[in-house]
Amino acid sequence: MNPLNRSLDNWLSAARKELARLEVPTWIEQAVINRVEERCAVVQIAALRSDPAPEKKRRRWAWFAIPSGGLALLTLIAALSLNPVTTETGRPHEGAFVALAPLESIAAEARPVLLESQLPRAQLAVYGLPVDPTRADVPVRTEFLVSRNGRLLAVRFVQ
Amino acid sequence: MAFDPPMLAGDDAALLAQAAAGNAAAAAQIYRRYANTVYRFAWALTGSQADAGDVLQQTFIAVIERASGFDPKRGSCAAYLCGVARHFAYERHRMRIAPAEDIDALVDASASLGAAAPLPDEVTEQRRAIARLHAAIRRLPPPFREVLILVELQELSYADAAAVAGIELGTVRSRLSRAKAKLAELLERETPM
Repeated sequence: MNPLNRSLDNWLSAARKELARLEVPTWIEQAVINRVEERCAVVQIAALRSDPAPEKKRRRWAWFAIPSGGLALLTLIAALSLNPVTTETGRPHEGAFVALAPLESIAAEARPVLLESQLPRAQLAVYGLPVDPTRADVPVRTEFLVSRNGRLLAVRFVQ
Repeated sequence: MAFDPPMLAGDDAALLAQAAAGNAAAAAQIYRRYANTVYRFAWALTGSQADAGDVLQQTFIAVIERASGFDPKRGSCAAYLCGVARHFAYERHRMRIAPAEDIDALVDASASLGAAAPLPDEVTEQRRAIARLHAAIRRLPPPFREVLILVELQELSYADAAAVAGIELGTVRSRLSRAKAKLAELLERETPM
């Protein structure tokens, strides 16, 4: 082996030892762990989203639904004309959002996404929310506010 | 949210599949097993702690999103993760060549690996020389650079290096030989070793 190659091998060996001592800095590790955890949560939420099977079932009854829907609409119009009510929104009742991230980071998120989901109450413990053990397996409808890069920002419950 | 999962049994492929299904404990286990390997590779490629951190993050996020990419027959999990990291490092930098003034930053980064106490001159000098070596490695053309890093610095097998770079085993050997020759030439031109 010529001296130049021997010298290079020595330097490569020293560089190898130096590199082997390099470890992920704590601040990077924490950031990566947070992102990995959030991504896992988003994957879980996506997997827990409502089962498409009832959709198929509904489609089978769609033809019957048209005339019966029309009848229901007429009944509703009649009922409302007799007894008018005012509602702020046509949506089901929604609770307030519970922050899962610092408020300033939620406020800084320009275009968050609202992700609807239905999950067992036990799952809420993952997000640090209180769970009644006697109702742990009872599903709850939720809406997650998720940042564009997949960070969970807030959650609210839909009744 | 706590991220201190219990140890899970299972091989890398199974853990990756669980991580892809949203299992944070499995993702943590894979991360803890390979984070340093991926980070070192990314650092050696990019020369920047911040970039290496970003590449590390992108790699693990991508892996969670598509675990189906890992095939144990094609190489180890370390090789698979380094392959993903390589993609992000290239995408990020377009294999930017480290300018000469980066040497001081490299020395600082290198020094941060050791004790915080002031270093003896000879140790500082050795670190400076290693930093110069890293800077020279980053001046190599990308195909040679990555093979040199993978085999010589990361100590991956030729087969794993071939899997990471997506080349044949024979090409790894020839590129490594040429990389070392080019590196010796670069270092000789700059400073006598």
